[in-house]
Amino acid sequence: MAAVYLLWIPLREPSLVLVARATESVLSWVWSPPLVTSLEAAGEDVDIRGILLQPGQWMGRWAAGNLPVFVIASFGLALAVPVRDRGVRVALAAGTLLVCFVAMVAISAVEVVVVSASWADRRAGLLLLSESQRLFFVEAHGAIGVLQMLLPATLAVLAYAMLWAQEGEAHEDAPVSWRPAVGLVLALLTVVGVSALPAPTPTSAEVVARLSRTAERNPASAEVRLALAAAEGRALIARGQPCEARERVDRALHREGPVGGAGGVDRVRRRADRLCRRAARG
Amino acid sequence: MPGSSKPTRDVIRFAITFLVLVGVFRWVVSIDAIDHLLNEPLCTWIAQLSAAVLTPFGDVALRGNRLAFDGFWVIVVEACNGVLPTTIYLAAVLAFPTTWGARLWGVAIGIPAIFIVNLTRVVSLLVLGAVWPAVFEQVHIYVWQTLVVALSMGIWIFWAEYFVRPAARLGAST
Repeated sequence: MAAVYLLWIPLREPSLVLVARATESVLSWVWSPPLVTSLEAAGEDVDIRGILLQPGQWMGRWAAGNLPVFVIASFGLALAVPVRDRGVRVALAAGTLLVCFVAMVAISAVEVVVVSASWADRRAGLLLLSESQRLFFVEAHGAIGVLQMLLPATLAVLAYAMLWAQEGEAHEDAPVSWRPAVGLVLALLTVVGVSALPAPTPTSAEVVARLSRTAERNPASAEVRLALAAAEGRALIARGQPCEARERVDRALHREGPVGGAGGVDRVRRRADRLCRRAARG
Repeated sequence: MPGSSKPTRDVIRFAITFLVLVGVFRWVVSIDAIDHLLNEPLCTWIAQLSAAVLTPFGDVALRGNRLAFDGFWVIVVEACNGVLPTTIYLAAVLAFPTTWGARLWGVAIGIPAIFIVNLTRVVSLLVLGAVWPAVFEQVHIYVWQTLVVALSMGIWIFWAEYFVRPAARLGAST
């Protein structure tokens, strides 16, 4: 276990970067609409950025320091069992890494949603999750502690059961079977490779759709409505309709009044106005 | 192909039974009545026992499941009472293909052993918090969380080696 911990130290930061990247992609599946747009690993923390009231807005920080604990425990326990067959050993190591990586991404996704939802509630009294989503994430958050203990235990008992299974077969000179090991190593490399790919940046239309859902969930929030107007303005500018963008933003500003420049609405208004005038001159 | 052999099928059956039992135990423990009967009294009892162990060595204060040693306070909550590692251990014992006699031995040695491990954890963390509070959180999260899993599995392997191996072998008998 100590050896695994020492090996882990130089891998801690790169693995967190990888986990953060994979979580960005996973969030777009498990959280609808996904308001978190980027996760930046910084030391043992993950900074959460999203599109709630400003593009690229800081939405909290998740302290991921204890994430490696169960990975080290899992890997140490699984490898401590003296399985003779080298193929089984490699399969066990690759399988453990694969399962641990998937578990780390799942934990990270749950924690990021919980932290950002809590931040939005504290910062502006905003609901980011529907009631069913909230209940799901409360349950999932509660299950993290169980998972962190269950995973190493499961891998350890499985490794030990495999050892006994090998003894039961009593094939002292049986050929080493590499097929499961190769399959698991390839699966691990594929998962890690796919995770390293950057998550796609949401288009203007996607941002509008995501903020529309948030505005529906928070009908009393002028801040969210202004952020939505700003996002719609940006989408209209991107489509080459700056005058419509200015009109849309003006309507929202007139209706809501100045609410601390939510969503960068003033900037969008100025840009739309400039482009609209230029278009009129041209 | 090992995937088609009886021992491998036994391993898969063991893994599935183990996970199902963990799920069942977690569900049972989460029932409100069981929670009141098991978790809350256990937390208080662990706090009382820790207080009894620490009393000769310093100033101890006890209020329900809150406990202090030399002015350093902790609360013994559900996550600290050892129920989770015990349920995982019991699931592993009950799922393993062996005789009921061996399983009873597993229950008889495992529950007190894990309880002692957990009591050692609470007592050592309290002493550490009083003597060296700066490292309390690190040891609480990094060291003991890993150690509790490793020691629980160590007890399981001890049981399998010394109580099960003479009676039955995986793939040879169930």
